[in-house]
Amino acid sequence: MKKLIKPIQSSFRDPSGFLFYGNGLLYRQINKIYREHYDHLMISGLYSRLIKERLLIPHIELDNGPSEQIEIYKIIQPEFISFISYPYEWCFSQLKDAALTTLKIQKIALESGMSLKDASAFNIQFKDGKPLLIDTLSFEKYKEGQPWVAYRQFCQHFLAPLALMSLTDFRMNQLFRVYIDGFPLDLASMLLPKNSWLKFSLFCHIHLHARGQKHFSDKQTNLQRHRVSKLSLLGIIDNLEKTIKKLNWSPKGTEWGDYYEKTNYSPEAQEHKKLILNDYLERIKPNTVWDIGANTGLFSRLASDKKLFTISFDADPAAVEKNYLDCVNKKENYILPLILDLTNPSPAIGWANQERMSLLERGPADMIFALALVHHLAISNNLPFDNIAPYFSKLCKYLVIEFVPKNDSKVLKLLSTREDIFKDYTQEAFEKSFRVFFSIEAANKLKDSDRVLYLMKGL
Amino acid sequence: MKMDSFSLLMVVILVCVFFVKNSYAYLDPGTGSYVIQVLIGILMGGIITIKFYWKSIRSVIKKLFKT
Repeated sequence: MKKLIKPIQSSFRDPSGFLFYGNGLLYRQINKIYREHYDHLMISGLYSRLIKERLLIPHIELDNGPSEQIEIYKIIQPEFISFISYPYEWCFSQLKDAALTTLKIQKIALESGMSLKDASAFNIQFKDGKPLLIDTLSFEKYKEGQPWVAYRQFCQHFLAPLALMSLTDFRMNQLFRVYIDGFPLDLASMLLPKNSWLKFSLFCHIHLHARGQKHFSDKQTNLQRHRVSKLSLLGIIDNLEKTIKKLNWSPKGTEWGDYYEKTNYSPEAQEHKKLILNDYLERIKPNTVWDIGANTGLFSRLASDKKLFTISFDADPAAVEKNYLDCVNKKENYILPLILDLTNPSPAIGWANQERMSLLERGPADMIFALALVHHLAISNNLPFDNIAPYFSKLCKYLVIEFVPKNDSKVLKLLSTREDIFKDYTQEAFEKSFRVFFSIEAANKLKDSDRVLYLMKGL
Repeated sequence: MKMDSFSLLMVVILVCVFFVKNSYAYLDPGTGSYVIQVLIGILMGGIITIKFYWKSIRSVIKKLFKT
């Protein structure tokens, strides 16, 4: 295995160990300096409890045999995560659930004499519809009087983004793309509304915290003198939990019930579309489906209800929020709603642009649904078909794409406020561009509509 | 929105304690977060303790006023 080791580029900060690929599988090396903490995690019963409560990624220990590398203590193999997602792709409630999961883990860890040494939102992933911690090496033995070393990180990765999304603007999570180690608290303090100063918890954890960071940034202080009793620590965690539970978001001026219910399909056309999509899914039997422009996930559920792992992408955070809340309420395990604007997909970011993967690096999907999407790309975003087809060919093996003709009411609406410069927006031109990268396996015109569904296979 | 009297009291305590200056050893960018955590911890620990012993405290106060 040693010769085939390929360390993961995001796994370099913690000297306790690192993730690597070996023979195509994912492993985690645990170094000897972490031995005491790892053994305590396993022996104290903390690991078993967290696994039982589905809060931590399960792993198996491998018999790595004698090794020439003296720093290796153990090699473990964590359970596979189907798709790594990032906080800038999560809606409000996904980040809130991730935050509450982190605090719950910290509370349980303290009961077992351990504490989280980091509280990064990137350490939480969604598996079977639930957030869980994927970094097994995040725990350290707790010493009485020791402050929570991850407190700053928790405020920057969870509390500040959630407060901003709830009280300022729900699109604020996009700041994660720029600030990979969480939101700077001085920026959060500045962007939050003035009445947030009157909320005691936000005043303490964000506004006062930000000023504290600034005040002590160029001063020396004896940290040994500062101790936090276990009772105080539990008090802080309890307060953070209550504060986060009180933060909420819902679209203004509308009810969730009628949000996104309007479509321009007749019921017959919608049923016909479902029949065709079901037929394509039965024919191809993909393992993974990405529904791009999924809205609240109506068609994504055709795949996820068949127990196919489905990612339900949409550019609108409100649609993703509604989709996620539906998943939680119905306890759906095979669907993951995420925010994605395909005209500006998640890039590779972090050190050497290798810490967080681009969308493309996390593919290809077995099948992509691009339903009622092409007119947004071609007309709203001026993308020629010749540019759309090659990107889809990199993202998936099979493409299910809906062609929306120019006489469609949605296209006419897009063209109503601008000059029609899209002479090449025709079904013939569309097919010609896509045939360069795909073979057309099927084409079905929808009932009561001029729209056409295509099943294409990558060449 | 009005700040309640408890919040106001806490703010005053925090600001008073916060600006007591100690400067001895090496510092890092997390120093401010550490100190704030210590201060918030004192408050939160105090609140939890009061909550825990609230029944006893209330009965003592009641007894004091009865006598």
